[in-house]
Amino acid sequence: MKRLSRTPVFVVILALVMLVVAACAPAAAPTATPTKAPAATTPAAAQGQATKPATSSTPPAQNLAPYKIALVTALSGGFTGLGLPSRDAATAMVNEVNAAGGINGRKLELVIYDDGSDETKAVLAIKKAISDDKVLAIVGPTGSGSSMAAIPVVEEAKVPMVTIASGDAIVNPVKSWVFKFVSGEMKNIPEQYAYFKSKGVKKLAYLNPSNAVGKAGTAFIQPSAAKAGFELVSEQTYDPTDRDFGAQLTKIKASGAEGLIVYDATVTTALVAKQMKAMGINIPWTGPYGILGPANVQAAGDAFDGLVVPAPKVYVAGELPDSDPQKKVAFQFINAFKKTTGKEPDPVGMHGWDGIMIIAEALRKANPDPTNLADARAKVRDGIEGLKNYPAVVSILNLSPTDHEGMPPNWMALVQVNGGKFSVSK
Amino acid sequence: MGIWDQLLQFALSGIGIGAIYAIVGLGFMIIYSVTRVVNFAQGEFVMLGGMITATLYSTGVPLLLAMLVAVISAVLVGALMQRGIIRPARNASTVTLILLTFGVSIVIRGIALLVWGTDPMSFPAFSGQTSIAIGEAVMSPQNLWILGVLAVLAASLYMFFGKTMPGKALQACAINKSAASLMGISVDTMAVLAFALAAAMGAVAGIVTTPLTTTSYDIGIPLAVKGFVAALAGGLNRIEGVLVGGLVLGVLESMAAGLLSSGFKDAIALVVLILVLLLRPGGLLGSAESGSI
Repeated sequence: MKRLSRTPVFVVILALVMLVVAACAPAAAPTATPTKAPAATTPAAAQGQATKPATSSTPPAQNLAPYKIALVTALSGGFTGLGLPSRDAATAMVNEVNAAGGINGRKLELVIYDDGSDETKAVLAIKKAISDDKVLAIVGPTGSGSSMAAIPVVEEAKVPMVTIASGDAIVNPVKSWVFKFVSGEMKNIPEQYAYFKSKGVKKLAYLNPSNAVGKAGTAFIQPSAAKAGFELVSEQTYDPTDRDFGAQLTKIKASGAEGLIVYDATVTTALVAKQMKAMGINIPWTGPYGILGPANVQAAGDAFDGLVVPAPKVYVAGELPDSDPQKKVAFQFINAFKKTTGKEPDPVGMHGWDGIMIIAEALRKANPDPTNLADARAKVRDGIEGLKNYPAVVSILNLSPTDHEGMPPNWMALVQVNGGKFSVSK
Repeated sequence: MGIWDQLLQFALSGIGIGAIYAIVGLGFMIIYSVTRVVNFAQGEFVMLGGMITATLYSTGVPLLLAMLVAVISAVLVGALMQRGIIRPARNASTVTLILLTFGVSIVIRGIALLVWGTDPMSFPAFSGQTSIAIGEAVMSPQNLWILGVLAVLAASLYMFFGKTMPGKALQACAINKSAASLMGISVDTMAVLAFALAAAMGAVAGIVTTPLTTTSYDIGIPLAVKGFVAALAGGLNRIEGVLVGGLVLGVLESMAAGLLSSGFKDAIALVVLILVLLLRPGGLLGSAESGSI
């Protein structure tokens, strides 16, 4: 078949152009899915009404206006692994609060928006929540990209926002209205270093994805590894859509690395673990606590046996001593989540829970009038900022005007995986 | 790990991935040669094959039956796509048709996201997970299955195109549509057949790779890109060209990641694409004499 005429070659070059577009499509795919335009749904509020016990300890007062909070999170798109558990946990928290009589006699009303794992949708949803729903505070959006995009909006509207994203740039430098109770690479990686130190690791390697999370991890590891006492012997990356890491793992094996950081929380880590096992690479490895997500643990099977990941204590809540102030709140989260959804929680939902719980605490202390929006929002912000020694599910929080993250050093537990179950590593 | 063992591992990994690219590439080749359409939804057939099998298997359906249902479903989707979208637009320019397939891929992916969400799925490897060691390099038994399936598919396609009437009819359409239709071959039926065949190949590719890589709603895109490059390296019309193209691409990727930097891995596919277009636009093995697929 003669194939040298112009037309097919032109067609093929055009196909090349579309190939490049297709190659960039993974970012576009979430927006292409038919997500609802920011629909103001209040299923949580409706649920709250439905599960409210017939008799509450303090009867909800004579039609006091409710406190409205918006939850903007990924109910569709690529970040649903974080968004869906956060939504369930936030709903559970609101149910708990309302079942106990609300806050100072007012009901807590949750308005839920889907940010579609997309920055534009997230910003639109937040704007709507602020101006149309007149919320007092926002929990979300999901993901560092959307969170960074939302910052100017909430700073201008003066509405407190507790994001569900790990990027350290969100609170570094501090912005007056933005909070983040999810640890980023600046807190996660030193915990991982400490673990490797305890195993006597001197030669360190990393295998990070080339997306935003991975790049942030790489950017942190490169200057800090030597200062932490490690020799960085191999630096490998992979595309988030890659499924085969033979080449990278071979180089890591050949480099004599004694410890490996895989700064990724997606199911790719399960594939890496399987390949490491197949190639007989038995060095300790670890990464961010998102690795412990149920989808990953299931996909990895026995490839995760023996894996140790520094994680918030809620992952091993059953082993916490009663004297630990975080044990009570961890079990509140776990039990309420089970009550609302009928399933065991994915611990990563704690970020949705903490967001609501902390805002509720600020409301309880300040008792603002929700009809005076500017005042109420400012009081919520001040209330959050003033939290000291507050036991949240993620950690004990100590906030201040210069610290809108509040986590102390060495606050994580070393969680070991065996047969799909978590326990404290000895 | 000595340098030779490393190189061996790079080569083995490369052949393993390359075989996957080759199977996907065969699907591109079939549709292009018969209909002149570059089907960008090819990757989605791969995704459907793996996802449907995994879903059925997880509800207790025996693996073999699940695979059969998955392939049939993919074939139906392919046939529907041709009948419902490509055929009504058959008088449009080739560019429009390609864009349509791109649109179909987005729709299929969107529906997959709604149905299955973002969670990955998998099912057990066909003959276990114990790696086969060759020196210090390892290969998964599933990789051997993939190579085996590739060989069987390629051989079957040869037989089909060379020895059977429908196969020869497909070839005739590939060579000259008008002449074929003058000879009484229904070009229309051949087009549906091509899509159905390509969908089946895609689904098989998805089924045989899922135990190794897990599957999820979005695995179609990168596979489509790499498979297309493999097909292009084969001149879009020669089976052996696609095989060579796929395996070469896989090994080059692996070698580049191993010897240069892992960041290069994905750039390799596009570099190969550009080189092929500039230096050997008829494919790595040269343009075929008219009369063969």
